[in-house]
Amino acid sequence: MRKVMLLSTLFAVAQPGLHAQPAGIPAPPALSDAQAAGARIFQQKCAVCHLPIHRSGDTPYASRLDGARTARDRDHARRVIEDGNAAGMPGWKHTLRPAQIDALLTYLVALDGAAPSAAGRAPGGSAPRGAPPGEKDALLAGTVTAASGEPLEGVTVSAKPPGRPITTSVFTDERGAYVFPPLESGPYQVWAQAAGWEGVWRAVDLAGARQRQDFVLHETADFAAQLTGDQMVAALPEDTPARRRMKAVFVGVCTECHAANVVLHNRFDERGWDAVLAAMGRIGAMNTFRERPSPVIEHFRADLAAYLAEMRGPGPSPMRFEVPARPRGAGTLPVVYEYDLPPDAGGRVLNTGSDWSLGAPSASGGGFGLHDATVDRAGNVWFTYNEPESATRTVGRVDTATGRVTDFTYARPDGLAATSHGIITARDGAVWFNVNLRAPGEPANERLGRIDPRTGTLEVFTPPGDMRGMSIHVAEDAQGNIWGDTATGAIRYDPAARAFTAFTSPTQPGRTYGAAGDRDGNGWWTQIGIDVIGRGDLATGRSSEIRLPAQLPSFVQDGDFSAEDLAIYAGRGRGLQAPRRPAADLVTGDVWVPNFAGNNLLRIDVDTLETTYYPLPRAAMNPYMAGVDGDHDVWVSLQGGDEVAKLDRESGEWRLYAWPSRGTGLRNLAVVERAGRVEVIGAYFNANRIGRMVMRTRAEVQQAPALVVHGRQNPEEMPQAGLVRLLDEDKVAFGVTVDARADPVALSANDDIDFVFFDMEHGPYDVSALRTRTATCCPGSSSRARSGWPTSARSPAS
Amino acid sequence: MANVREIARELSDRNIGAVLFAGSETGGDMLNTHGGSLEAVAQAIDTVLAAGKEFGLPVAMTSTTNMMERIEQGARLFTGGVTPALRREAGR
Repeated sequence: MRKVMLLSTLFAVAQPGLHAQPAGIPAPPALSDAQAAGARIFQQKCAVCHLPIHRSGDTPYASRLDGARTARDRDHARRVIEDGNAAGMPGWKHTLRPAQIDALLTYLVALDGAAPSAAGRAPGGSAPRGAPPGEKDALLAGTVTAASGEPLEGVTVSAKPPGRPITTSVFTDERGAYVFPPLESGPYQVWAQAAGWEGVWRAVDLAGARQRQDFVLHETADFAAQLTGDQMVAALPEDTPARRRMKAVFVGVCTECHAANVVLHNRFDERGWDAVLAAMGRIGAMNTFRERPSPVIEHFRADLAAYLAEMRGPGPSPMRFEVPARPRGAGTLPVVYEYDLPPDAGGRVLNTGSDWSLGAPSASGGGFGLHDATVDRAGNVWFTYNEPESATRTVGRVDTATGRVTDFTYARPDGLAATSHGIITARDGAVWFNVNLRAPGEPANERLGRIDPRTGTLEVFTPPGDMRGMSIHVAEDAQGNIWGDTATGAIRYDPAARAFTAFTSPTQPGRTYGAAGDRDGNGWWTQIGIDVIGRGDLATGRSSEIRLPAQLPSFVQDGDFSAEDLAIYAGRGRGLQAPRRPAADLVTGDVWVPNFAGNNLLRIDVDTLETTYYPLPRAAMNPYMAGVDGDHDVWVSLQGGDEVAKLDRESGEWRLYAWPSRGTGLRNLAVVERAGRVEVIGAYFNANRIGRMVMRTRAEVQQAPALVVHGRQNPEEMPQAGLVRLLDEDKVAFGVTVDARADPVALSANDDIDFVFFDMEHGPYDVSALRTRTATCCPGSSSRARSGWPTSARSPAS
Repeated sequence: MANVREIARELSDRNIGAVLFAGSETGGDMLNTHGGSLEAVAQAIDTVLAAGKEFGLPVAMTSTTNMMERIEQGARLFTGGVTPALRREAGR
């Protein structure tokens, strides 16, 4: 079962196309506000059939639209948009308001049919570019309350400089207070959102050292668009066998590619839903088009169209939307950075998911391509790109200080960029990734890539002979070898020996999906189509397997599916768990496998092969990929929702951490630890964005500046004044000691702490950090380092 | 340490508000400069506290095994290990 080849082909850095290239961003035409609003709708609703912005040619369903033709008969165009047509277009009048259709028409008229890419690739302005980093010396904090004055915990508060590519988000604590990490000075858009509440947007000028921005939120009954995919699924009724059957089919078929909210934000009549299903039956997960429709969708199509029209149609719906729980406790601690990537063909995604009221973004709007992301030791993000028509982007790097993106190209034989899929940062700091030289229509041509982040040197290693290369996933074992999945099993690359070793699954075919190398240097891989976990024993060269039991969704009951159904829906209908991308704990030896359809996380003890299943806390969360942190807790990406889940290995309890956006559709996830902090990185598949969640401790957040959080902006009420007063009154004061490496916002606000002591002697002599800190407690001191330590003191006796 | 009393007196005479920082009696710099002897460190801290009390300067400490006694000697600022119980004990 094992093949060992000691030769690998190395493509040296001198090859053309291996140097770093900046992302090409053509200058876009300016659009009016109405056109931009229409362009956003077009990206989200229309582009999948009419104009895949990043692709050439027509789709099988509809030609590119011609602005002149639309302008000639605008009334006809409106009727088609509202009511659909016999050619298979659904009518949008139940989804889009008349004003939205007006905006859409305004945009369509501006389309140039002869050169659709000009307007289509760049609607609404230029892609946000990175800018030189400025000093992060501005602090932003405040509170979020209900109109009643009740503090709201778990509200997402985001800040973004207009036109810049980085959004920073935090969450309110139990006091309704939020505090950002230090930001660059300048104008920001700051907004607060919570499901069930109307979002509030404010312009804030962070010109000074500190800014307070409070928000008052008002409840709204119209919050369906704010929900995550699994929250939408929860609203689907389960009261009859027919509804359970269709709910199971909807979850099993539709959410394999995208979260449920991408679909259920829309409303169509039965004919409209049927048209949608007809199209979806021929569109693959990677925006490819199938010649023959999906037999499963064809089997359920009529029933599913009727069901969806009942759930999300023109009439009353039995769906019962509930305001979901907001993040609580530790779930409110992270700070999340989101980086907007410029699509390599130009333009930008107009609905990034940041405005929840717009619903989940669509990959058809130019977001397609991004797949996995990781962060290197310097804190920069690396990502893979799976768009076969890209000329420059095999992988990319985001400078997290500026947001600037640099493409790294490995040219395939036809001159375009090879694609990539999985990516990791190895323990030695190198970044490894899959490389696929396949052009559209050609067989896979898979290799292994490596970049030294310090030099940008890119190497590609080719499995020799008839070995298949890594396809989807790469992972590192405890000995530093790189593992990946292949079409028939798994493959291991030994960087020291420059040798590949291949393992073949005992059961074929099984659609291998993910792989991991474990503590002992053995390999594990998932066969998503047959619920098998493969294991490759390095010492013996043998492969073995673990078979997973069937696991139907919790709401499915015996008899919900007919024999006819199961004849064609044998996998999901009988409880296929669909294991995806595993992770190994290189210390404990556990291998963790997310079961996508089983909606659970599987732990395999590599010593005993004992298996333990941990069900996700809610249905249809669709766990995709696992990562292990230094505490041996396990993080899981959730394609079905907009959160990431962490399993406490000891207690077996889950905790959810929210992303600040909707429609994140997270497939991959990387867990790294930098400067003592856990960071979780994931690619927003549909929105061409990367999220980076950085954990903060409760002490750091709660020690945020009291004067800002609680609004005591009067200098007489500042912490130094309070300490001086305590000493004047001959009272004892308690404080904390921080050094230059601590978060600059970690200043005293805790009710138990009266002062902060800056220790520059035992930590880095970082004057810039000290300046930021003192800006927190000493207004007007941002330009001059000055101790926060009060110098006023009197005799205790006096 | 040799000049702590003179330093405290100068600060007081010049009406400069200041805090004398005595550090830790269980580790840290004082332990290094006093040959690793906890007894010697305790005596040195006694000296700082006495200087502070004599010239009206509060004294800061990073850690202590007997907070109430040190407060009696003039310590007024403590960093590290604060708990609600300690605050209550100190009258806060």
